[in-house]
Amino acid sequence: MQPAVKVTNLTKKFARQVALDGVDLEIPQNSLYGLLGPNGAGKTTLFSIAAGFLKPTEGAIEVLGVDVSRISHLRGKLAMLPQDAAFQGSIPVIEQLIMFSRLNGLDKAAARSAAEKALEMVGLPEVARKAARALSHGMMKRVALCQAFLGDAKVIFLDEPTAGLDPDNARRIRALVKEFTRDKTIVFSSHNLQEVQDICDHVCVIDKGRVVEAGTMESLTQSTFLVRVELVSALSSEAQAALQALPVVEGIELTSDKEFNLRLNASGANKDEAMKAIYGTLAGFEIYPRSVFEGASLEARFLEITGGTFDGASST
Amino acid sequence: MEPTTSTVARSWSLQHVGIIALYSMRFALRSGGGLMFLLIFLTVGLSVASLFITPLEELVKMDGPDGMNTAELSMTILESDMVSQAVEWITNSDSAQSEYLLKDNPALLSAILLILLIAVPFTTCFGAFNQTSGDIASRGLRYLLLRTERANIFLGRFVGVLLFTIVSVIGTMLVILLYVQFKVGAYPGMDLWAWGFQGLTAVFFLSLPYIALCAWISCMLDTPFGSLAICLLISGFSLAILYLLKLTLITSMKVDPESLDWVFKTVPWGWKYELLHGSPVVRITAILAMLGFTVGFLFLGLRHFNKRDL
Repeated sequence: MQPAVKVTNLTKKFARQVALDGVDLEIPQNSLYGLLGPNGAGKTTLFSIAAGFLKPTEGAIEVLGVDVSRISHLRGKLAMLPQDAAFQGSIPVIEQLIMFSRLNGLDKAAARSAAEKALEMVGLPEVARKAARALSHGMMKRVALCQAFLGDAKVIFLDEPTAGLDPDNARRIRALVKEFTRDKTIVFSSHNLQEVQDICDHVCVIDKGRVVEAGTMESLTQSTFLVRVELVSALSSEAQAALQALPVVEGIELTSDKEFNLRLNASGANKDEAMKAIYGTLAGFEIYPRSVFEGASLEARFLEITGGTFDGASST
Repeated sequence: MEPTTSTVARSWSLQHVGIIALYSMRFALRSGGGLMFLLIFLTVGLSVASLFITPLEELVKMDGPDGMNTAELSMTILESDMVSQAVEWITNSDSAQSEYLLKDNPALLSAILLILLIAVPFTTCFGAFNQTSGDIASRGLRYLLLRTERANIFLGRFVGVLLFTIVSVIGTMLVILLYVQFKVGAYPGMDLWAWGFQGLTAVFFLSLPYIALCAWISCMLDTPFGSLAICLLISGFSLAILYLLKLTLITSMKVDPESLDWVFKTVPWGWKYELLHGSPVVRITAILAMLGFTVGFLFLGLRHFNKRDL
C-alpha cells in the first residue's frame, strides 16, 4: 500500500543552520504516527514543509502520492494543526471556520454547518460568536484542532497539540485524536513520551535534523528497557558481575559509585520477572536500593538515542 | 544549493480569490483597520474640498448680503487668468487643458480633484499596507495555505483591498459632490455629477498601482508597521529622487526642462493629471499606464510571495 506520507532526502537550511538533513521517512496509511525529538530537532520544520509553509532546500514530501508543492491537488485531503499559527484576534471564531470550510469547497450553508459541527466535536459550541482573542489558551488550541478536522482530510498533521495545556485539556485532545484515527493517518508531534506511547502505533525519533530511529511502537519499546538504580552504598564489583550475568540484563552502566543504569532485554510480559531477578540479586549481596526508576521503554530508548535528559532539552 | 523555486504562473481559482477577497473586506471592517482607512480617505477628501470652499464662504461673509454669493465668487475666482496659469503650471499642460478643467467642467471640482490626486498615493498606503504582512507575522496565513494556492491568497487580498478602496473612493466623492452641489450650488447637477464620475475614475486608477505596490511590499515584510513605513517611503521618496534628478539635469547639465517630462512618467504619480485630460487618447494612455504599473507590481509581489517561507 502506498504510504500516506513519503519524505525523500528532505533538507532545509536557514542561512547556516541545518534544520533538516537528508530525512527519509515513510508513514503508513491509517496509522497514528508519533514524531519525537528534543527542541530544535526539526519536527516543526518537517511539518511546515509538508504543509507548504516552507520550501525545502532539497528533497521532497509526498502526501497520498502527491508532491506537497501542488497543494491544490491535496485540497480537502491534507489538514494540519500548526504550532504557532494565530487566528485573527478580533473576528468571531465561527466566521473564520466558515471561511476555511468554503475554501475546502463547501457552499455557504454547508460551510456553516461544518463549522458548527467541528466546534461541537471539540466541545466548544458556545464560543462560536466569540472573537479569537477572548478565548483561553486551551480553548484556542481546541478551536485550532477543530479546523484540522474540518472536512474529511485523510492525512492530518498535529504539531504539539497538547503543548501548554492543563492535564484536563490535554486529555480531551488525546481522546479526540484517538477518536478520529479510524480512517485517517495522523502524524502527531510531542515532547510527552508517555502520551506518544499511549496513543501512537508508530514512532519516529528525530534529533539534530536527522531520523535516528523509526518503526512501530512495539518494535521500539520492546527492544530495550532501562532501570536506573540509586544505592545507599557503593556497588561492589561482585554484585556488578552478578547483575551483568543475569540473562535479562543486556548491559550495566555505572554513572557513579552509588548509581547505575541497567539495560534490560525484557518485553512487557516478563518485565516483572526481570525486576524480581534484579531485586533478588541485589538482596543476595545485602544491597538495598535508595530508589529505582523503571524507565518507560520509549523514554529509555529516547534517552539512549538522543543522549539527553528528558525535559525537552534542546537538541545540541 | 539554492532553495527550490516555484513558477510565477501558478494555478489559481477565481472562486478562491473571490472568497478570500470577500472575507478580507469583511474582516478589515470588523478589525477596525478598514474603518480607519475609510475615515482617513474621507478626512483627506473633505479637507481638500474645504481648502477651496471655506475661503470662498469667508469671502462671501466679508462681502456682505449685497455682494456675490458663493457660486458667483467661485466662478469669478476659479475661472480667472491667474488661476488658469496656476493650473497650467501644476498640471504641466497648455491653455487648452486648463480651459478644459476650469471652463468646460466645474472649476471648483477640478481644483479639488487636482489637489486630491496629489494625496491619493499616500492615502492609499494607509488602506493597503497590511494585505499580508500582519498575517505572515502571526502565521495566520498558514490556515489558508493548507486550503488554497499562494497565488489565490495574494490576489484575493489584493482584490479585497481594491474593492474596499473603491467603496472608500465612491463614499468620499459622494460626500464632496453633495457638499459642492448644496453648499456652493454653482453648477448644473448633471455637469457636476458627470465630472465627479470622471474624477472618481481618475482617483481609482491612480490608487490601483499603489495598492499593487503595497501588496508587493506587504508580502516582503513581516511587520505591518514596517510595511506601512516602507510603502509611504517608496511612494514619497521615489518622487523626491526624481525631482532631484530632474533638478540636477537642469542645473548641472543644462538640459532643457521640457525634454525631461518623461522623468515623472516612470512612476504612476507622474500620470495623475493625464487621467483628467481633455483628450480621450491621453486618458486611455494614462489608464493603460496605470494598469501596466499594477500588473508589474503584482507580478513582482506574486513571484516573491510564491518563493518565500511563510
